[in-house]
Amino acid sequence: MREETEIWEQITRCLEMKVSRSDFDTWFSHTTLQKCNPDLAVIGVPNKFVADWLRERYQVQIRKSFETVLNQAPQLLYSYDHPSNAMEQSSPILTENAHKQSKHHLDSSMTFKGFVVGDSNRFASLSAQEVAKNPADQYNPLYIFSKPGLGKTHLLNAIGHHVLSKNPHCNVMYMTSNTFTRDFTYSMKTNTFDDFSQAYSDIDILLFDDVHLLTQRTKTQEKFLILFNSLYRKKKQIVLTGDRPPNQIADADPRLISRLGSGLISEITAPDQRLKIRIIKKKGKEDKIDITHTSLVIGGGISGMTAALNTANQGFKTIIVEKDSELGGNLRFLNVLYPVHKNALELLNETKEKIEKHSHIQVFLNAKITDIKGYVGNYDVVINDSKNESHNIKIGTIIVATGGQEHKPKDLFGYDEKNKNVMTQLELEQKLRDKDNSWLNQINRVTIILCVNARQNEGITYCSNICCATSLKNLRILKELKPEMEVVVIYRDLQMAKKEFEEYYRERRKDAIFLRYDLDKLPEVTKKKGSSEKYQIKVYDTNLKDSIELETDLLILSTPMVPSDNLKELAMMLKVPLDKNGFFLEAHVKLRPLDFATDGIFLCGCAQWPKNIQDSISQANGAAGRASRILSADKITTSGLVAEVSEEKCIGCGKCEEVCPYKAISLVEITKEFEDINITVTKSSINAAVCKGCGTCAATCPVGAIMVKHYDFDQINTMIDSYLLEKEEVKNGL
Amino acid sequence: MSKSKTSTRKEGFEPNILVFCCNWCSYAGADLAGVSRFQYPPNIRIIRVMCSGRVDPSFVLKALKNGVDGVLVSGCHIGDCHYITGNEYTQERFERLHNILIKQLGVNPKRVRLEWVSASEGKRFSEVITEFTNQIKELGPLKH
Repeated sequence: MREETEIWEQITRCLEMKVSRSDFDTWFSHTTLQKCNPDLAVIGVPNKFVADWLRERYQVQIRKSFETVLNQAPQLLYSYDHPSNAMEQSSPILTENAHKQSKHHLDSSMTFKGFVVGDSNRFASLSAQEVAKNPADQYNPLYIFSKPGLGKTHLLNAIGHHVLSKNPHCNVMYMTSNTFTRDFTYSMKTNTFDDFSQAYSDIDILLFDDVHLLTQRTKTQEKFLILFNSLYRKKKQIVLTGDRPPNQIADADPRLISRLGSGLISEITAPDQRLKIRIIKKKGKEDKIDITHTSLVIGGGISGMTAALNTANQGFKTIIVEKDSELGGNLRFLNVLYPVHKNALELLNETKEKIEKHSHIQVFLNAKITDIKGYVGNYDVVINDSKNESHNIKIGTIIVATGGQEHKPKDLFGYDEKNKNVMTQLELEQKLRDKDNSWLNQINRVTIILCVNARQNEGITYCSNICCATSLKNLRILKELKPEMEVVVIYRDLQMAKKEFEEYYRERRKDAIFLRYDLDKLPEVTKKKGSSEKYQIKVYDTNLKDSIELETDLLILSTPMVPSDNLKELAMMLKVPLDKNGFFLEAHVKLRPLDFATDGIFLCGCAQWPKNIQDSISQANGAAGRASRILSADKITTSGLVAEVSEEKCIGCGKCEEVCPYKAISLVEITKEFEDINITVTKSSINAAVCKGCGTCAATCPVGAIMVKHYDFDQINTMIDSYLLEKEEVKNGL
Repeated sequence: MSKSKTSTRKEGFEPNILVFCCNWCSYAGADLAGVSRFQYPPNIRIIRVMCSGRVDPSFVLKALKNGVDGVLVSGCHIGDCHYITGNEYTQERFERLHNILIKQLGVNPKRVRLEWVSASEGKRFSEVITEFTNQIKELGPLKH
């Protein structure tokens, strides 16, 4: 350590002579040398800003001083106290890359792969590729010229990237004539001209943009000529761009003009329609946005818990929002699961335990979502927890698992408080769950009525999918508990799809009498007079075409599952649709059964339609898989199909803001500067990541200030025109 | 030449009809009509837009001005819009278009129609087109 302090003292003294007093005090007074060997020198600095500054401005001087003092040229690293107490640049490789990055100034998005080649730029592109493959070989210098915006800079950067990919140690430098002028004047001002020359002398490939801007800057031109000559003599590749052919650059040194034109000259002309379309298509694909790697699961039933466990097991932070005081949903009320005959409580406890132990899962109980804003990968969700505190959480994807609830029939088939032995399936399950089954002693005859309040002409019109199988399961359990019990099932149709359920049903046929009724003649239930709970049932059997009367001790009603309460509010917040029955509606029943039409939101379980536990679990895993597709990406590509506002035309009326269903449009205040006065005006602004490109705003805008990409006014008008043009052509026999 | 032209027009007038279909419901419905081989008259041309809400009344007027005999705008059923409420604005806009512009211009409002066709209604799409084409045929060519 001692030794290093001494070395640093000598080096700083050496540096003191090269930089001005004030600069030295500002940048070097708090530095130390932490480590020094022939390959590596670690310089301690107060913060990242100083590190960056030294790396950018004083790299050459510091290296030179090392050479003078130690006769060594170590790799320079900067270290400072990070907020997390970790040393930045503890990894030399990372620093090397960062260092390279800062030095070559290349734009990583501009590569040959991203360059769309057409007739207008084929020659320029080919020559650039040739130069990139064999630098300083045949075509030196390469001069590319075109009007602005046609891809000169792109090609320059692409050459740089290609060379670096082949040879990472190659010293590639991209600069514009403006940075060159700036560095040059800086070196003149600070009297560090030598360092300036030094910095440019060891370049292997010089990529010089906008050379035409050097005109009228005589001194800079001269300096550039010197640099050009020295590089050319050393057989280093030089690539330049300008906005016109070399001989048309006015006010330039004739020597410079002759140098520019001494190698290969290629021009990029204006692209034709086809190339334009291809470029637009490519650009449309390239809009990318960042992703928050957190998943939100709304609902803590079996579907929600399964989905949460799935995403959490994949390593994503997962949040469960449950409206009740405990997890489990409807699973809490179930007795035995069919067709596997597993205890529901076991499954519930197993799953709950996994959730509690999982470090990636956070559970909000008694909680409510009060606001959802944002878009795929970047949702801002406000959750009100049990203490009524609101939490603002950033979310990547949302899985809706709000589940359903059992419908309670009103004054139907004698279902009310007075009749104790008329109950729904779920109520029966809760009773059966108790260890004490003595109440069954009184019961010798059981009747089950299916499709109670379901598949009506009005009201609940759908089939609830699960009640037939649930009824037969409970029938089996009752029979197991008391084999001598007589059971009658009164049904309309039986929904027992899948082979295993069909078999399940065949088995149960042996245990009960099945009677069929239809909507026209509903069974009638009357309570028998007397103290005990006995009911008289009159059924019109459609197979016998006759009425049957029977007596029963226990009447079980199979009612359909209905959606949870207050789904409308949630659907509005999520901006996703509900179907006519009030369940959530998926994007496509066959092609995208787990997704909503809105990106980044998925659904599973009974939120979609009534499902049994088995189906809910498989769907939850499916939805979690869909969600992880987004969560696992760093960035996602958004659609290029979005609306844009022309600020000039916009009058700031706010009509577009009103009609936008995605809240993508907001009115922003913009200050316009005139010579002496500033005027604040309101203008519409569209968030491209939220916009879905429906175009309602464009049709609403009274001044036509909004353009929807791919569907703008000109495009649609051209389509209208060409329709009749086609008719004309047919008429004229063309 | 011109005589024969007018006579053919009167006898077998084939109208030019422009249809705007939204990408999610009606265009898919039209596709389904094609896939299911439901027949409908060949007088229509479809312009696809992302949402029926994109259809600016100016498009309809431009089409009529250019000599189209009828314009049909078709979107998702109310409540089913892929963009949640886009078709509600279309409806609102169409009422205004019918009430003010068409009457003022003296164009029979029957020539401009708004229909809802969902992605599953291929049959309905062909029926709507057939019916609308017949209606325009009865009305005859749009005179300027």
